[in-house]
Amino acid sequence: MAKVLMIHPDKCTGCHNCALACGFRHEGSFRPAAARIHVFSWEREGFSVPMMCQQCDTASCVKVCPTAALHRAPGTTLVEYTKAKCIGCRMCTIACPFGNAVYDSFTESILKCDTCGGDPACVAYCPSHALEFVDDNISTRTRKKTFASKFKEAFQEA
Amino acid sequence: MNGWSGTIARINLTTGAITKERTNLSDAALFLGARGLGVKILSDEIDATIDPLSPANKLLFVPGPFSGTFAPSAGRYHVVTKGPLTGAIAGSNSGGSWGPELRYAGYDALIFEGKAEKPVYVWIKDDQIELRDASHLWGKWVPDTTEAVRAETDDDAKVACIGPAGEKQVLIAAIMNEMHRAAGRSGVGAVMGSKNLKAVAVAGTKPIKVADPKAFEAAVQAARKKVAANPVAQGLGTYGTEVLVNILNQIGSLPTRNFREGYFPAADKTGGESLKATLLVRPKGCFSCVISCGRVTKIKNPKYASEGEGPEYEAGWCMGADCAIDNLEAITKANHLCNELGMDSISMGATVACAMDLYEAGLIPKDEAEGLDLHFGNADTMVKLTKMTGLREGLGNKLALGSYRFASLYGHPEYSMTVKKQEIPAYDPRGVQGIGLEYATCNRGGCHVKGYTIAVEVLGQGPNLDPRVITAKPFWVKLFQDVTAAVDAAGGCIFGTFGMDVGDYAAMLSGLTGVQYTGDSFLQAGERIWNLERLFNLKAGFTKKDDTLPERLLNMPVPEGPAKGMLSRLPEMLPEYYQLRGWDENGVPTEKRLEELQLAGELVGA
Amino acid sequence: MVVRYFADIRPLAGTIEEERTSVPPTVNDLLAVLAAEKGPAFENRVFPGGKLSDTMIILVNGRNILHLNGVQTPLKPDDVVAVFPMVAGG
Repeated sequence: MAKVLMIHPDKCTGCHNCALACGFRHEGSFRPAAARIHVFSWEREGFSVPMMCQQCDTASCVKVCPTAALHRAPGTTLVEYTKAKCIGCRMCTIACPFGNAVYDSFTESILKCDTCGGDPACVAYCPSHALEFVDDNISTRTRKKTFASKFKEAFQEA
Repeated sequence: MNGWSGTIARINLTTGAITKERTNLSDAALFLGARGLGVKILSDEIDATIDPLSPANKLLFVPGPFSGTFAPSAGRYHVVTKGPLTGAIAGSNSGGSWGPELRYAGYDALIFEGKAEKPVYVWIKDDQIELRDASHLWGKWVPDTTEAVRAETDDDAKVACIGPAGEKQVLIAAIMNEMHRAAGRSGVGAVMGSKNLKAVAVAGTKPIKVADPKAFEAAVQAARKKVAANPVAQGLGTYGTEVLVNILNQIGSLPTRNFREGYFPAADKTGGESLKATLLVRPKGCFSCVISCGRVTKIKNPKYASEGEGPEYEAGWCMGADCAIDNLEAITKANHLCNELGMDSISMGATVACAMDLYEAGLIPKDEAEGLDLHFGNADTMVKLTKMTGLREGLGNKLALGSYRFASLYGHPEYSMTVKKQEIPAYDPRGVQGIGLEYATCNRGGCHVKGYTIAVEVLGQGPNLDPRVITAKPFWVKLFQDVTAAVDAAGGCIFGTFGMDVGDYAAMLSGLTGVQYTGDSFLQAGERIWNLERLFNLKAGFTKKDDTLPERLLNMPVPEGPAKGMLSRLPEMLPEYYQLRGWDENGVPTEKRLEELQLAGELVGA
Repeated sequence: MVVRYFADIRPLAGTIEEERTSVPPTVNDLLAVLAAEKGPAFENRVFPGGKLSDTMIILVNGRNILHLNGVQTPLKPDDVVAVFPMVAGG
């Protein structure tokens, strides 16, 4: 079964281990812009959430890419990027509604999540399980079950 | 260049000159970074006898080589200067993300010299360093300052700043970053204020290079596993540090009413369990942290409405049991205020406790209290005094001096629970002997965190020592002090040592920098740093007489509870400690020990 | 005899503090009684397989049992026993 990266924002502590692991996995050093995952933090409220490419089924970036450098092989859950085909037009960065495709001048390429070939570094390094690599069918099941159990408690009392 | 960036920036606030220099790599290898590199540079560059609030003092911001990498729980930076509260070396450690950002901008250290004519802030974006006018920011509290500076610089900039307390040179003022993280102790915020420096904003894009990526990652993964398996490290994420309130209380060593007693019956109301049940919103982790002990908290009660972070154990104690206060909302509000105004919560709460003690003893005239009820237990008073101190209003203007100078104003410095004029933290040394030796000998004054023997005396780590005995305590105090100095200097958070040992740190440091460290050489770096700090203090005029504890803890037995009848046996432990340190009977490092530590020649002038 | 529970042991014990009218001879005996009474979640955390977990700290009258007689420390009717998981602070 295909797998997808799942975010649980309520578990994010803002530690940035995901971004560190992502950049290191791809470049072997620690360069902030190398991370394909970005953590956004709001200091006053103490809230943080990581964001990365959602590998959309009908991806805007794929639609606008003139060379199919961004493409999705049928039956997979990954929007793949092939640098050799990329002409650096950056149409994808304009098209992605989430801002998850980024043009990096240092490597002269588009940076977007590639799930590290099926073994995402961010998931391995997140200490609070805010990121999961799960089967795409049952990815929200745990969350559903947590809330279902609240009904169980409520009805038990009555 | 691997690990270190190789560049230090020097900013002269008097002349406006900004220069970039090469990091002395031999110093970096010996002193690692952060606390270590900081004391080396400060020792070389200032006369230890200068007035800390004069332009002659220097203010150093120094991250460690780990900061900005994924070495677990190791994204810290150190503020190093001469401390105005103590007159001793000041090394204040802070987490958050500021330290890593400075490393991404490409710097191993920032050195601020002199004094700006008018308020300024510094904006650093990679190679560009600018001094900008901060007159419009002067007077702003920390959260507003942070947002205002970001709006003028970069959305992703990390901001270290002072609030009104630092501006007004409150002697217990802190430097804050990411709004809620503090380089707290010894009044480092006052030094920043004395230089008219309001904030340092940083944004960086440069890579930190790794000498041996495979070896580094393997060492990191092994270290992470150890921390994940350590029950103390894991418990911190759930309950935060406040979980300690109850354990210290149950052993009878939770200092209560300014260290008059060691047991506070209402302690549970102020502990981690209560915080989790009431005010906790979620845990928070600093950059690269795997533990996330930070507490995001929110008070909805309109009386104390506030949101921010904390309280930690120390604030929960000094604004709680130390003042005989059991109102967690008031404690949390006062802690938020300390962050917003930019103050050390430990010194703040302990100074209020001292004031309450003096007042109940009839030593502060009622008219001085300006209509405030200064009795122990008054939560409203404690919150009000916190705000007044940060703004230097009314009685707050005197509390701003810290408890030693405050108590001296009324002729009774012995009511101040301080060592070297810095307020001692939340463990009663009459019931826990080893931590008393740490308080007395810590280079930055009354401090627990630089020699946290509580881990082995109370928390069941390692050899599980009996807190009440003095056997082997000098050995363990020295060991903790040396390990901590090395971990601090590498950019690590001390909570990482719940799991990691010197071998783990050495393996990571070797893989990162390419300089080969062993557990022994890493530990020795810590001892080297400790000794250099000691020499600085000796040159500043400190002597063995200053390695002591307040009278109350040496001569007034704990009146009741599990530790009833106990006193600190510091005088029995000190000679053995000096011996183990390789110091003479006056606590002066011998030439022999200094040579072994590659500090030969540093003794001159001490 | 009073038994107090802290941190994550509280929900497992179902209480913060309780009076025990019957006083088992030793700490070990007390833990066995509590484990039977409080159920498997408590037992697995505190006293797995009939042995005190090495992630627990037990105090009797404010003293860590490791500095008394370990789990063989005798108990008296006026004792206060405190059950903590290993924790940390600053």
